[in-house]
Amino acid sequence: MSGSAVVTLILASVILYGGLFVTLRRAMKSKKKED
Amino acid sequence: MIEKRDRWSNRAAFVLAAIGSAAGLGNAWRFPYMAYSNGGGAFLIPYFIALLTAGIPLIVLEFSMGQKTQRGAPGALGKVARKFEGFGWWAVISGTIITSYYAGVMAWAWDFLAGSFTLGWAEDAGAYFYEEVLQISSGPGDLGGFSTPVLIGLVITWVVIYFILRNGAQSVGKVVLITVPLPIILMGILLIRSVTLPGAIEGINYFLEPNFSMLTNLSVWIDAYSQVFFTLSLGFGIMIAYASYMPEDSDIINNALITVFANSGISFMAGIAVFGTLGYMAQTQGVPISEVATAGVGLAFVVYPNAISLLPGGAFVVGLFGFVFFAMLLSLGIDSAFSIVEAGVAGIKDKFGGKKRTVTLYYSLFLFVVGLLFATRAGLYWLDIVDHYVNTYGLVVAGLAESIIIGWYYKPKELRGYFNSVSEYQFGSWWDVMIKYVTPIVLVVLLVSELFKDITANYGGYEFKYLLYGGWIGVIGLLIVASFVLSRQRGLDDTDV
Repeated sequence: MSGSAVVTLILASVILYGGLFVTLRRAMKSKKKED
Repeated sequence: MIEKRDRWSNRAAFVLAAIGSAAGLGNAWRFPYMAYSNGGGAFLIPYFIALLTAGIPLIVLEFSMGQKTQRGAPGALGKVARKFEGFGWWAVISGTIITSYYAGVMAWAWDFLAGSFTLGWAEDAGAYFYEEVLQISSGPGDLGGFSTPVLIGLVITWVVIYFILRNGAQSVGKVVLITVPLPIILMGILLIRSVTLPGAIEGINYFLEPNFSMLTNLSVWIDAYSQVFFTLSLGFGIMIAYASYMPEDSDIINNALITVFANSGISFMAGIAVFGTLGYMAQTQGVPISEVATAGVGLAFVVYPNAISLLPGGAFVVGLFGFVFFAMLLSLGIDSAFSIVEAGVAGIKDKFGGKKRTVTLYYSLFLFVVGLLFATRAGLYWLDIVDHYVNTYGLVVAGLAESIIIGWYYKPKELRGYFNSVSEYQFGSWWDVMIKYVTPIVLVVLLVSELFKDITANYGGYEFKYLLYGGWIGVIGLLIVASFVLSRQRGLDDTDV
């Protein structure tokens, strides 16, 4: 795989899955506060 | 007696249902090819920009409208002003038309799933698809009677949809605990298998390697915005309906962001799995990737099963991975399909009342009967025609109406005040700018570019009379008449806010 493809893979994964992780964690923290 | 409004059992049920609705067949069969043909990894730039400037603003708008008004699309827009109710019906009727053939596609997936036990598609998936499943006729004018395998698959699909929806959000909330994680797990299995195959890395490279020069083409940006709009199930009234089953003080922004990240994450994963497999297929057959890379129905029911049939390990492995792939398609599709049906049920119940089960039953029966056209031997042709017109003139117009109504009539600052007041994350006035200017401009460009193509050439090379019946009259005419007629009926709420 080319270097630029690897960079794309890493960047896209960080944005998408990192974003999902951050937002889910925030939602879980809110749930704990409500409980 | 008016039933109490349906409610999700908890926040997770709503978010999973929204993800299930958004993540559908298009994530697997449209996004990967869109990216590959629009500059590979470079496509992610217009894609993310489209998410930020249109996708996220619109999904937040739809969640807010539903949750604030506690109504489905017609009722929600009708609460802004009575005269706008028709646009809500426009969204719901677009969804009605789409589900009638989406169920047909699910029927094909059932047929191929069954074919994984007999390896019916393994020798030549194209022949299996066109000759045994579709039993395809010569053209749209030659209906040729029903295809029995498709008819059986259609019945199964509607029975499943009815049973999932009949108890409303309570049963949907339980079902999505399976239908959302399951395709992700199955896709993971396909991804792991694909990346370990020879040629897979070359295939994935085609998907990911950026070609930045493509970004100077307007068509790439149009494709990015259209992909974002369609992938998030916008303009159907689904997100409005689903959000209307949440309490008014529920978080909106974070729920929307989770939905968007999860949906795009599934698309990206699908791209790697699909192109890994296509890379293997290209290498095995000694052909360039451009010969095997395709999208849509051709990818799902011809190319990908052909690729699976080439897997090492014998008949059992082929059958197993075929089962995994078609089970993934079914589980991706089913929660998208029933979400569209639910948007219609919500609209009808809000307007006319009635018991959930009764409305769901009659509406499902109605959709089954309408969808019988797509179970004929000419079904694929009519699906192609109707799908083309309803996506552009149905959904895009509905999305445009929503953003103009909120952006210019209701005032976005007011709606932003509401969703910010219930959300942990906050959106600034940039959201108003997106809803008022950017989203409508983008949607108008999408609409005009498709209209120009449709006026200057016959879509798909079909004879004009079929496009007239299936498109201009069958979709656009129906949308205009039905939206108008439904909005003129006296309903349970008839007051402006």
